[in-house]
Amino acid sequence: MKIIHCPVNGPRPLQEFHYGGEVRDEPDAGAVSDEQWADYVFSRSGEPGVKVEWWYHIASGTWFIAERDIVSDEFIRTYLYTDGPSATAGSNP
Amino acid sequence: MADASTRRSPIRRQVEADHTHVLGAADAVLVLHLSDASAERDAARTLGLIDLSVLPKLGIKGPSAEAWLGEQSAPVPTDIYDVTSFDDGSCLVRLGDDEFFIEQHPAGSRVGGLTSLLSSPVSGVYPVWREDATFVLTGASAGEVLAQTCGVDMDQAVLERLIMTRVAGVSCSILPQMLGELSCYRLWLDPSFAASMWETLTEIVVELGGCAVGAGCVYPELSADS
Repeated sequence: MKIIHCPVNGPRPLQEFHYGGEVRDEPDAGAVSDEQWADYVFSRSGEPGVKVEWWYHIASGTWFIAERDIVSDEFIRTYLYTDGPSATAGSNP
Repeated sequence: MADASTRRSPIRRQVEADHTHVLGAADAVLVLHLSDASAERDAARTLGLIDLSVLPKLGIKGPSAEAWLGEQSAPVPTDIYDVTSFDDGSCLVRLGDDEFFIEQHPAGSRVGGLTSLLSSPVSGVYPVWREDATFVLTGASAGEVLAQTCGVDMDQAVLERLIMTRVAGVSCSILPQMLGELSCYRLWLDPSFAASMWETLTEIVVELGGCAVGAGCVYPELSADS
């Protein structure tokens, strides 16, 4: 069973979580070109490596950040967005 | 929020029958016993499943929620997921920095009182009407039911500390607690899942030698025959 460390609820099985997509900065829709906006809306980076992603603990309604190696599907660390990476809640086995 | 006098459990058709012993506790119909009270109390020591869904509940949110609860002489829990009890036995759970959940004791009146106080707007305090289903697994084998349905190891659970997880695929809040001398797990879940969850838990409880019992097993003071 794959275990993810929720920053609030602790280690829980993968089935309790939902993937929320890569963390990306939203551009100012009124300032960017249509091409730049379309790139933000539709394009995703599939480059292998460590991604910073949104994950959601379904039972408690907790959104948090996970750094995940998408090659090995290894969760490197997790933390609340408001706390930032310096307040790493826990590493995953 | 439904009028308290009209409160009914979402699984009432499964647990209320003509022969049950019920009580208008907290202005709601609470099933005290489904069969013989003494036999139920014996069964509950091994493994019992109780429906307490009719107990009034209230959520309180907002930046002033903690201070306001303190003004109402509430024993505000310090840490997230900690649980305390009001003087009438109603429980108070801290769900977040600014979020709380209250479930009234069957003989208490706390939720009604707080609801009345919030009938007029209070700055920074927002009531959230909660209609969660409440089920309680009782007895020495209660942990085995959760071992079959939940990914959290309840052997490591701390009494009176909330666990948010999934049971049989349904998001639940679980509170390990002692009710009298009975070791229990209190489950709160969205009422739309109550009927199917009750059936699932009942099936497992029966497989493990237990049965559904009434609230009188954990609140004997409510039973006329106690």
